[in-house]
Amino acid sequence: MRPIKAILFEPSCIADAEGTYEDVEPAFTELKAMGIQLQIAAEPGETLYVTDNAEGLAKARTAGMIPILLMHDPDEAMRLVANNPAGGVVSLLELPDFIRFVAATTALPSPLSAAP
Amino acid sequence: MKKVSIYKPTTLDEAIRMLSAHGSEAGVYAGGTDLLIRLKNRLTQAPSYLVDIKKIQNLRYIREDAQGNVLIGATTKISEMAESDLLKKRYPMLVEAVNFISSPELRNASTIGGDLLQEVWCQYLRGGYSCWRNGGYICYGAIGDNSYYHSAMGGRLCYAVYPGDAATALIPFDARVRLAGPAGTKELSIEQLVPGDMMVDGRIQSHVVRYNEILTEVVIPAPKPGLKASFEKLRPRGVWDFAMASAAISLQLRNKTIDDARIVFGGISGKPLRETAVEDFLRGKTLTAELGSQAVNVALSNAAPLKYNATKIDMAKGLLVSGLVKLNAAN
Repeated sequence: MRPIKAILFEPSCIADAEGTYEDVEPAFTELKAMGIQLQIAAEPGETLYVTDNAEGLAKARTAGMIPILLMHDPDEAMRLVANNPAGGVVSLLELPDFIRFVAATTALPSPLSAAP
Repeated sequence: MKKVSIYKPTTLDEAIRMLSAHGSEAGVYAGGTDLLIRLKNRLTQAPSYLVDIKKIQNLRYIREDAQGNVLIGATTKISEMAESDLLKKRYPMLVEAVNFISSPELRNASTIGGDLLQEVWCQYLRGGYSCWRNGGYICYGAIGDNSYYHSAMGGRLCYAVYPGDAATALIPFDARVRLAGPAGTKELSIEQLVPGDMMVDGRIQSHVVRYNEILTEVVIPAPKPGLKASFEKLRPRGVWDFAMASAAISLQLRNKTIDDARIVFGGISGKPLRETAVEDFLRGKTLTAELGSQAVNVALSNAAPLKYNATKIDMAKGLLVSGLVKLNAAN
């Protein structure tokens, strides 16, 4: 995986009918402070596509982006792992650490490059 | 098993040079009860170059220094700690705790350094899943079976719990460790040593020890008069297993008045979890049989259990109550 510059979110990862999820604002604040572009795609291969469904994972791959599974529902997430997401987070609050970890391991062989 | 090369240095300087030369491909080898299994499981993070430190002189001892601290060398066996008359006399709670570690056979092989720095025992990691600690970017424990070995206090990418019992039991004594590295030696508290999931040298680990550093010694300050301590542990099985929850408690007592307290939970978080809210509550209180049931009301208020492990929080709170009851009965 190359260093992350942007994240494109699907609407269902940000809010539901009752409003914005509680982790969105603090996560976005920290991500912006890290210089990460939100909702604006950069180079596809440098962009995380955060989704919580199989269609999103497929769309991300088609667009050449990095499909990341948002694992709100553990049982559903365990089923979706069969669709080979490049990675997964339990909460959007984990995205800054996700990106830091990728940056720290950029020079190492990455299993993401082998993902179908 | 993954193929490895083994070095057998006879000095710390030599060992540190070997570790530095191979970077994250090298690892310290002592008891091997964690490392060899990681190699057998072919985990990505398992090293290819083992630096066997058992031939290094003066790393295996339990002794008292001039200031009354007890010093334990890093390659001291857990069984040697369990049988130490000095530890039994000075820190009986620590001896009780190390007797809970694994099985008698493994206590004869494993070392205190290895116990403090062991890898997590998540069944997905050990089963070779491509998780955060094994070359991947996902935590299967967070979405799979997290009944036993995963955090009920939130996580940071990896949700496995820190598995060591010795660290949990050492924190109530304000123990510290000494590390040797290329730049010399440094000293850390146990809490600083195992702060939970950290990104260190491009990998996720529970401790802060860098690839070219070696834990050499544990330093336990002399207990003050009036210090009483307890350790309790609940496991999935009656015999050897890792903690579903454990609680290490120390109280600094003046008659029945609690002047100071340390409350540390094991098995429920990515680190030995010091519960300062309970410590604050206990300070200044009179130790009674009912105090535990009051203290539990302020314990673990920020718990964040996963789907299958909320019971770990109940267990931890139960151990807090029973530990305080036990200390009251003994005082």
